Amino acid sequence: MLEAVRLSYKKQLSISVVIFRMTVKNIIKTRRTLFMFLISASTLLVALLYLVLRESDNMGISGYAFFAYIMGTLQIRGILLLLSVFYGSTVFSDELDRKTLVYLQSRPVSGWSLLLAKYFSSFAITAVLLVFSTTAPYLVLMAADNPADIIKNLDILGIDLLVMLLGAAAYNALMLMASILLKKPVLWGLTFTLLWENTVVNIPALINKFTLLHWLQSIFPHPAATNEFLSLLNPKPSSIQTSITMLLILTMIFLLVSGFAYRRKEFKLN
Amino acid sequence: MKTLINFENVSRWYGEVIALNDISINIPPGVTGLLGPNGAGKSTFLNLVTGRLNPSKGKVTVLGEDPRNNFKLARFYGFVPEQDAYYEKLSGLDFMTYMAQLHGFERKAAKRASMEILERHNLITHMNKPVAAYSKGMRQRIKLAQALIHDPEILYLDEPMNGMDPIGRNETIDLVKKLSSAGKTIIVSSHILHEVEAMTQQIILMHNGKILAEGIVQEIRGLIDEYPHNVIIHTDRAREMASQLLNYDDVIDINIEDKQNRLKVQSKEPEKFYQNLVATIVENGYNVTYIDSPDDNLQSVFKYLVK
Repeated sequence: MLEAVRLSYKKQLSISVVIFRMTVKNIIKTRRTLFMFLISASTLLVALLYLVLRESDNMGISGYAFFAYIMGTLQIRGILLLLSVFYGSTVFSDELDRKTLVYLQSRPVSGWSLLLAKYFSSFAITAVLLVFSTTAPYLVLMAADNPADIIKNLDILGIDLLVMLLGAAAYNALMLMASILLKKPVLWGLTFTLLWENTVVNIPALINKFTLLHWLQSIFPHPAATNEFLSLLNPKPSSIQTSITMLLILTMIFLLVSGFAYRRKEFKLN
Repeated sequence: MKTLINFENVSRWYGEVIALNDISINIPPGVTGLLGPNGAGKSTFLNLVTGRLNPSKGKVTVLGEDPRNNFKLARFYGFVPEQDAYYEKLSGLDFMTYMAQLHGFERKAAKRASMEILERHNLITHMNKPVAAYSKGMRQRIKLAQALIHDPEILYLDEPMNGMDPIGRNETIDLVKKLSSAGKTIIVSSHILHEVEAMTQQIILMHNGKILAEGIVQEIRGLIDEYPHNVIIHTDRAREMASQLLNYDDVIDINIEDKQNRLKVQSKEPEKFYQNLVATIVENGYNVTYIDSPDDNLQSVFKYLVK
């Protein structure tokens, strides 16, 4: 009887799409997403606040410089990490917490189809919010200086978006892996990103290469914000090509480990 | 007999706690009741056949295949988990459609199949309500419905009647019988003996991770040589009948309750006893209004076995 079963890649792909759609639909309806939207809108709010203050205090910083500042502080070291931690680590563990994983595991759905669908769901939501939190302040700040700057600096925006998408891909894969391997993945994720990533990235020599942030900042077109003491350490960036390659390889590794861990692990729902 | 599910010296432990202890069993087609108190190993048994757990030792096969990480097998079975777990915000129809789509149904076909099965389970009028608003009985029914959406050959039901009202229970029992007569193989676990008895005579008695007995109820009782068989008889002349029944060598004890004209007889050979009883009634013209054997209820067998 089993020999007659054909579960083609095409079928598995269509099942993955079903899980992807359902997961995205569920994520959008959560309060978490409202909270995450407010977090990602903070770049726009800061940009607007800056424009109001610039008018009244006659500040000398250009809109472009302030955009670079927002990207280097809020965006790459805060919003990117928070969104990835919350979506990447909960997209799978939500199924465990509400014990609905049993329905997925008693369907002809391969582990890879399930995990990739979950991964792309969290990546898609994170990416959409990051595109918003990058593009909105860009448009506002460039337009305030000179509307022609919107077109002039599109290459910078493009690189910013590329960095955000690469970052979302890598961190979401890492958090998916954490949610399969560890209990309390959100806690681990926050500890890892906010403490390890933000600190170790400033340590020179080989050590900072043990962070994803190092590879992202090497592509980043703006100076990354750091405190005075850490800036004395003067960590050197890697080449852009190496950084992109490393980020893609690490994303693949995290996904592969997630897949193999999922196959080996027994998920107890009682 | 054709075997669908096979356990070969299977043990499973969680840390130092043993959940299943060296179980070897073949499960044939038909309805099989998995019976035992909480912690007997029933859910572990079902998690092993659905491939959600690995045996610590031994081998499990379903349709000749190892079920672990074998998602192809899911085409052939439906699983009703014990957990009260749902996508709470989804409507009943959306939940069912999602479950059908995961079996490879196209969206339209999935919706159509879902509506049919919701109709069959008396949930059609509630199909647009979120599952969170369902009563306990409705939640159990939709859990059963999702397992049937793809018309599986094998059905695993883990405590399917928990929380159901008597009508729901009867409907579920009828459904199991109907599915069985349609040729499906069903394994149903329960800790409530009369529920299982109402669905099947083919049972596996489990306790502390071990199989205490397997077979049909009568066979299981036959295994228990020393276990006395109880028969309760209501008759117009209880004392007179008691004195006659005591002459039979298989009868080991009789209690008489005069006010109710009620006898409680213990026999060590039930088959022989029933033959003698019929002869006694006919020959002496007793007016017997009631005969019952509490032993036919699995509770008695189970209590005895776990002593």
